[in-house]
Amino acid sequence: MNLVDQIEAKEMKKDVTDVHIGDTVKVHMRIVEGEKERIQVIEGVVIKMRGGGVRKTLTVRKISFGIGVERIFPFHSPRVEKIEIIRRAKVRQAKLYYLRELRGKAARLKELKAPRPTTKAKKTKTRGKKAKAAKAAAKSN
Amino acid sequence: MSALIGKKIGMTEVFTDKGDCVPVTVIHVERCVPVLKRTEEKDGYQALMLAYGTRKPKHTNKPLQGFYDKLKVEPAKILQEFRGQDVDDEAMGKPLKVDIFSEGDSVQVVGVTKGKGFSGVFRRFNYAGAPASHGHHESYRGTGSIGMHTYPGRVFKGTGMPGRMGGKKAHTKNLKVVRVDVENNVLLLKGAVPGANGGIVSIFKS
Repeated sequence: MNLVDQIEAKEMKKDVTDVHIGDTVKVHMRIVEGEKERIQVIEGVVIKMRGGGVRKTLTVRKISFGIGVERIFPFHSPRVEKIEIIRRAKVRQAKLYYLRELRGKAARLKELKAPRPTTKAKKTKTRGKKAKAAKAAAKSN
Repeated sequence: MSALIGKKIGMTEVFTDKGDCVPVTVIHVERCVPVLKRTEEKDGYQALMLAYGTRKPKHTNKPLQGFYDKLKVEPAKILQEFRGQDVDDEAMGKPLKVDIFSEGDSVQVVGVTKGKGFSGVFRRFNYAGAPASHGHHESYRGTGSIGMHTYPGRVFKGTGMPGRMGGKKAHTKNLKVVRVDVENNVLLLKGAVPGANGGIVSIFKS
């Protein structure tokens, strides 16, 4: 492990939420105003994630009073108290910039109900020499 | 003692107690040993010679080996004198620690910038070039005029022209020390320092 990675590993949060692109999230942001400290919650869609290690950021887009607002959060910042996932959507792009051009109903994302499979199920071969041999073996049995 | 030689490892970000994000350069001081003192009486000036890194025996020729043998230190990659620096006699020959700097200190870093090759005036001196439209043609990135007329009849010294850029010694002043890791002998400085990753830099307290 090189030195930069070692330093970053120390800075990074240990238990982080598994956020994906297209997730609707609630970001709990700690805000210090003078002496007082309060938690601000920003709800929106994750349209972009960039950077690795401690430099990872996520961009959350929401429509506030009819105006699109995007905020960038450093993922590992101590000011980000926690990130809640409200819903998960089916997306096909890594960056959802196309949402910027869409309004209202068109800007909805299709919800993903089932949890994302962590490992791909192994496909059984149906064609080729090996598949034929396996078939023959099954028949003889 | 207020100077060190180190290696630029790379850049990253760290968070302060308040939660502010600070861009930092990681500097690793692998082996930085004071080896020789220059004194006013003997040499006419006061300085301290630091040795940095390690040198393989096959790269150490006999005169150099003799020099190191006399000082009773392992051969080093770099030998550099620092004017006005001094350490105790007991500290001679022992690797220096980064704790000579503390958090919040202002430092100056000297390194060799990345070589940019033969560059034009656009890149080298930030000249504006020529318009891209309005009937302009052929030269867009040129120098423009380099002088006047019969008087002075010559080009002034220091006029910016294309040429080799980078690969030169550069100073970055007033960098703040963000963190001091004595265990790993690592310094985190706020902002960028000259040179490529893996380059050797010297750090002075300012």
